[in-house]
Amino acid sequence: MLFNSLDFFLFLPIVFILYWFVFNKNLKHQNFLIVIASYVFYGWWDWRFLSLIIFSSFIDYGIGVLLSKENKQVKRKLLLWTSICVNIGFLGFFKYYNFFVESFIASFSFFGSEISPNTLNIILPVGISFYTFQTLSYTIDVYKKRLKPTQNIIAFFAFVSFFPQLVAGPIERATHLLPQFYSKRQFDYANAVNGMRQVIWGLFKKVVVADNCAKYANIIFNNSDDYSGSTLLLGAFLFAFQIYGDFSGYSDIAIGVSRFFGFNLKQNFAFPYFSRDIAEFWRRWHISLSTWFRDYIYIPLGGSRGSLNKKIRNVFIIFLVSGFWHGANWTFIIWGGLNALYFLPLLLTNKNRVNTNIVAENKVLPSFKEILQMTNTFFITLLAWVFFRADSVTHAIEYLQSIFTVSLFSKPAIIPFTVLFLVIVFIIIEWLGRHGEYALERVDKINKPLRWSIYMVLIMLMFLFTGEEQAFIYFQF
Amino acid sequence: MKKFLKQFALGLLVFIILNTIIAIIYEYPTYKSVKNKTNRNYLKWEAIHNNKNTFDLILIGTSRCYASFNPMIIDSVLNTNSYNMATSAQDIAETYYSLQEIFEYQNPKYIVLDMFFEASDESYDYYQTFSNSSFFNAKKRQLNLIYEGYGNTGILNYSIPVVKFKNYLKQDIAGILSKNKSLRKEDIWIKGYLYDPTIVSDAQISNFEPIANFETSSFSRDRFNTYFNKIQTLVNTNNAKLICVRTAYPPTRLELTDSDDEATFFDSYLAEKQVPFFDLNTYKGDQYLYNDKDFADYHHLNYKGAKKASMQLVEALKQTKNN
Repeated sequence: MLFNSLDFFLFLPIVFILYWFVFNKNLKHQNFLIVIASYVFYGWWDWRFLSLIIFSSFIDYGIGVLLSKENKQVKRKLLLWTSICVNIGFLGFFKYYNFFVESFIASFSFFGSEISPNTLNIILPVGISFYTFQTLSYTIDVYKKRLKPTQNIIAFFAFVSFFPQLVAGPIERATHLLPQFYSKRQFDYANAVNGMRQVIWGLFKKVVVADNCAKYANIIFNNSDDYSGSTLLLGAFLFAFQIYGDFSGYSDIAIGVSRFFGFNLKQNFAFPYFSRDIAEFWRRWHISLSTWFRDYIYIPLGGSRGSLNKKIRNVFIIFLVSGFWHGANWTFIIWGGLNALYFLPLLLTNKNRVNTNIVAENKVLPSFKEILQMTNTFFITLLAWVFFRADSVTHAIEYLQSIFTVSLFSKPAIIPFTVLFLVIVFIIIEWLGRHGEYALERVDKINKPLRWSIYMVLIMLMFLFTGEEQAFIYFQF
Repeated sequence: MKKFLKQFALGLLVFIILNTIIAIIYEYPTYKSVKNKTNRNYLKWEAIHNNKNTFDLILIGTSRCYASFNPMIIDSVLNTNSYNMATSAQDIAETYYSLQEIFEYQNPKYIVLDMFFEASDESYDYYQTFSNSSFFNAKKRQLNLIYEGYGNTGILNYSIPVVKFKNYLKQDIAGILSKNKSLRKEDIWIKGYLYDPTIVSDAQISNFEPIANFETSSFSRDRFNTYFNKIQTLVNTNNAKLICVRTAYPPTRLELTDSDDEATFFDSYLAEKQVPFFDLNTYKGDQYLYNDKDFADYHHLNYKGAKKASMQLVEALKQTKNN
């Protein structure tokens, strides 16, 4: 079920009413309702793949229980690796099987021997990368004794399948989300209003910004041979806002909807395009995934401690794995590698934590230096996005080569004025709201008539610019 | 909770009020034109409903079709009684349900269907569709078009005025911001054909773009195939003959087009379906040579171009009859 679909607009009030008016007396019933609602939400796409979530939930719940009873380190490790193998095994099969087979064949043919391909027609279950990482965080935290294993099976199943963030995150940690299923939720007016505001803003980002940018970004990327450098640069710019609006919009809706049910999810995007260097960008982009990799891969590997070689190795590992997590294609791996190359100089010169505050904090406008820093960061990010969006590595390289030609200084063949106007309005709103968790969070400080006018304008713009329902980009990851 | 629900209800009320205002603003001209009997779709359907079994040739398609074929010219040569039932931004699903309604009142020998990628793409002008179908006598057919033709999106667009009128709202907002206010001229309609004396300007010609292809349009082969099959079956069941045409484009646009997917696709698809197809950009090209000034804009013929197109169609019909 898509957040921006009519189905969801009917589904959400039904679940809300049942949750607060029918099942509100009993915590277990509320959690059970969440499980059922989440399975309906997921099954709306393809009910067959529900079995994967259910199986994963059973395995990790069972392993958690066994870990709580087991003191021998060898057996504990065996249990942990069972969970890792099952979860990564599913992910590997559904997401990476064909990639490995094809890469294997390609490498053999490179050396002159031809072998016949044996790829499978595999459907990628929606959200598998997200819920796999969420359940893994539980088992690892239980193994490391950072979290007490749960004995409450319904709460655990609800944690794994919680519908607002099931298919595209934020990837919640068991230490943060699971305890919220143990305690009785009280309806909180301020939290629900905040949630509503965040949902409106998320839908605006998705429907108005991302989907409108997508129209032109797709045309330009799909016909990149025919366009000038300036048009291709515009295509990359529009894709940068498409992916940001799409993914951060989804996160905002997920966080906002969770607030309706009394849950608090972690912030997933913190105005990444206002970053002054790439390290800051990665602290602000897809925070739940970056911190997952940091805590479960980068730090166990030694992080930024140790020899120079080790530091470089660790940075490359984390960025390449991050790239590979996004998809089984060399384009994503190169995208990760490029970001590692951007990041490395900052780490090696100890400048990776220079910009930890909000840009132009408590000021209306940034300084000239900050503008240059933000523009530079945005530009190098934009070049990396070309690999993320392109169909193949060759396509991305040709696209970039075509940007840096004399035609970069010609008038673009396509100038979508309305979309560019919307993007500028969007940037201004984000800039003004950058001190909050999301752009509209602090709107409650302004007077009611103006606040309501803002809501209504945003809602009307959403309906005005709505097209065909567009799936969220991150569903494919 | 009470406070939250109250605020939510208030928000919903404001939204409904705003939508009601939009509905009144945009529906009122239609209401007025129906009342004054000047609404073009209303008049077209009045002609169909009130003149039972009168027309033996029906032309159907988008505005490209109603700007191209003048029934008076066709009838004067072929001694037929034809009517142009094409409507603005007509989608292929709308064509199918319109034909159902037409066959209930008429018994035509020929159905001429104008082929156009944008009639089967994924962007719809719901206002035009619903405005046209609102004149169907069969309300069930109207509902079928909304739900079966467009699914949930159809319901959403039908019931929420800000979505239904979004194209017009956008145009009007842009109009407020733009200095160029165009004065709407009085349209002249002849048996469903729009007599348009406008001639495209040189400035417009210099901004012409290639004809939409598979990459630059959202043409949906599946959707086209589904509805074309339905149309073909419907026409055959009613013992009529289906003839497909592609109306002309300005020559400058054709020159700019590297691969004319539209022509290639329809040509091979219709050959496979054994349905006669005439691409008026090339059909009897030595006799009917178009120039850019035969057009009112980038894809609608004006009165001069329509004379050529109507005569081409006459030739095509004669050829079909002889075969």
